[in-house]
Order: sequence, then C-alpha cells, then structure tokens
Amino acid sequence: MRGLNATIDKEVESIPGSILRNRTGSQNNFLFFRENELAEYTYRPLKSNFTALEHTTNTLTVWGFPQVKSGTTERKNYPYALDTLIQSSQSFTFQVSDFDVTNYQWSLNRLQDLSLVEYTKLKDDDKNELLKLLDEVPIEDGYPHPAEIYIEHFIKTQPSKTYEYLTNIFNKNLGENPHISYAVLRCLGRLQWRVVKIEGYELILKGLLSSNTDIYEAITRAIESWKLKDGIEILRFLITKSDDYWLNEYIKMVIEDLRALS
Amino acid sequence: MEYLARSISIKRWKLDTARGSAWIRADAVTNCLKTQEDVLSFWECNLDKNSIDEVATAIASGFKTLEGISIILLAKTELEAIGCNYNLTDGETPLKSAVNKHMDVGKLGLDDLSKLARLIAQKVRTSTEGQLLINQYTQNRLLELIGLEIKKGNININSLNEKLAEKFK
Repeated sequence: MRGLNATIDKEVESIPGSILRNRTGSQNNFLFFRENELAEYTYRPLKSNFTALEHTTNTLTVWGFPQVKSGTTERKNYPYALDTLIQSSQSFTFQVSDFDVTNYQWSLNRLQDLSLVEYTKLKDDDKNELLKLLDEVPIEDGYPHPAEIYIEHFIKTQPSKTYEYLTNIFNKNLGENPHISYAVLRCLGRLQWRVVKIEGYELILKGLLSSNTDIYEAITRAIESWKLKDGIEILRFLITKSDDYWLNEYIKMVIEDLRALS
Repeated sequence: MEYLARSISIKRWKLDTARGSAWIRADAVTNCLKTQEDVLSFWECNLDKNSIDEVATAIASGFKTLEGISIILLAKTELEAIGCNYNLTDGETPLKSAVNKHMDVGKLGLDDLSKLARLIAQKVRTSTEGQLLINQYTQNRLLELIGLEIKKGNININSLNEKLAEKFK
C-alpha cells in the first residue's frame, strides 16, 4: 500500500469522508470511510461534483461526496441511490438526504473507528472478494491490509458465519497456499480484542496444528497485539515447535512483555 | 555513522535448506526491497542500541498500525563494496531528530538489488541477536520508544497517524 500515487484534489481533501460502494454488491452495500483512510486510494474525477477512488487491486470503487467545502452548512439532497444508511452496531439511522457538512461531521464523530455503515449479507461475491484480497495482497508490517475491513465488518454483522467461513479458508489453504492461511490470521490478529473475542482466539489457535513457522509468527503477533497473558503458555509451546531462530527470539521478547503486564 | 538500517520482514529471508543457501525468495526482494524511482530508503546509524532504537522509532512512528518490526544494519563499506551509492535526503518521519538521518540508496538496477539481497540474506541467516545487525522490536517496545520521544518533545503527537496517536492520549 505504501508508495501509491495518491493525487488528492484539494477540495476533496477538505471533505472528511466518503461512501464506498462494493462494486459487485447491490446498491445497499456501503462502507463509510474517514478522510485519512482514503489516502490509500487513487483518485480520479468522475462527474463534476463527484470523485471516484480506486484501490490498487481494482476491486473497489468509491463514490465521493459532492465537493462541498468545509464550513458551509448548505443542505444538499444527494442524488445517490442511497436511501438510508444504518450504523448496525448501535442501530443508529440517518438519511443521506439530511447530510450537510455539519451533520456529516457529526456523523463522522459518532461513527469513530467504525467504517461500517451497512453491510447486509455475506454473499458469495463478498467471499470471493475477500479471498482474492487475502491471496493477492501481501501483508506489510505497520500498514493495514484491505481484507481487514471486510473481516471486521463481517464479524460485526454475522460473527458465526464469518468465523465458519474464515476457518474454512484457513484449513483449506494451509497445505498448498499457506500464505492465504497466514493472511487470515494476521488480519484477524490486527483487529481489536473487543471485535474478535474468544472466537477469534480459537481460530488463531487452529494454527498450532500446523508445522509452518509463518503461521506460528501470525499466532504470536495476534497474542501480542491482543495482550493476552493467557497466551504465554501457547507462546512457550510455539518455541518448542519452531526451529526458526529469529522467531523464537521474538516470541521470548513477547513473553517478557506479556509477563510485565499488570 | 558507519551503518545504514532498514526494516525487513525476516521470515522472507530464512534459509530454505531444501533449496540451498544461494536461494532467496523472490517475495523477499519484491516485498522487502521495494524501490521507488530505483531508490531504497535507509536510515543512518551506529552499531549501538540507542542509535538503532532511533531508527526503529523513526520507522514505527510513521506506521498506521503499530506492529513489531525487524531492523537490519548494513555497513556503508559493505554497500560500497557492491557498488551501491547512498546520499542524505530528508526522511519522512514524525521523529524530528531522525529527519536528517535518512539515506537514499540508489539508483539501483536489477544486479544491484540482487547483490543487496544476498547481503541481507547472509546477515539474516548467520548473525545472532547480540551482534545488533538484526534487531527485533516488539509492539510494546516500540510503544515505549515512541512514548519517550513524545515526552521529550521529539515527536509531536499530532503528527502521528490517528490510530497510533490514540495510544498515547
């Protein structure tokens, strides 16, 4: 994701967020993005008042808000096919046609770190999209992976189906395409504990049956990121299984960090 | 300063005993040695813990998501020996003290990348923790280092990525 040529129009830059549409989905599938998250995408002009964004994988299209300058309170009815956006986890509803810059920013604050506005069902198209991202986009330390957004939204809206699906992907690819299984664990490990909960931990632990040290690394990073003191025993077990010098050194450091937690 | 440092993903450089020591994964090169305008980004440092900590802080403070990293050190003489040029450029990092310690290595061609890759693979495969040529940082350690620099006024919290900044508020 680093080094993308993001040419951001000045006016677009002043807009605090955008609506993202899943190209393959119905018109009801929309994700809400904050401005800083849009820096990952490449912009191109669409119509006079709109901007389209494209991800490098060419899998997503973003329809930007009309270029209303910050600070104005001019109300506009937006000619989208959007009727109602629902912030699912808090049952919070608002009309797109009510948007002006002022209440848009209020909505933005309200949504905070939730990118999801509405995501209806885990459809086959979405599954294909997710699998494609896990397969094709490498994990880069310190930079978000596009599949994380999908996984987080799916977990929030339909946890049991999502874990069933992710477990399937993990198991199915562990032998011949371990990078996909690795990506599942890394993306999951990057989500907050309050999102993944025990089900996420259980999925991560399925990696213990593997003999792949990359999978061990993903388990380590998840336990580290979630600050799971209970994971110390798992980490100790990994050291006994792994013959990777650097990974084992890293695991020892994480164990020390976790032990120091009050 | 005698060394240039860069973050790499160690697992991509591991020895594959079945394929032999000459083999280096293409993924290692295409992911860890991703050039822009034929140039690779490095940070100048010494072979001591404080100096390497500064590099780790410079890199991690620019992250969107804080994660453990590994820093590899290459001696300037090693780079010169394989014909790589380097020059000072302003570094893009919230860590003010590190901005003028950024080095561009390049212009690199395919042969240069190949030589550089062999140098890195050899270091990952033969060095050990205490030698400081490969240095691993956990998420927690990076949090400590960045927090310290914020306290010293060396990092403006507003210059951090929003999610990262939240960890220090």
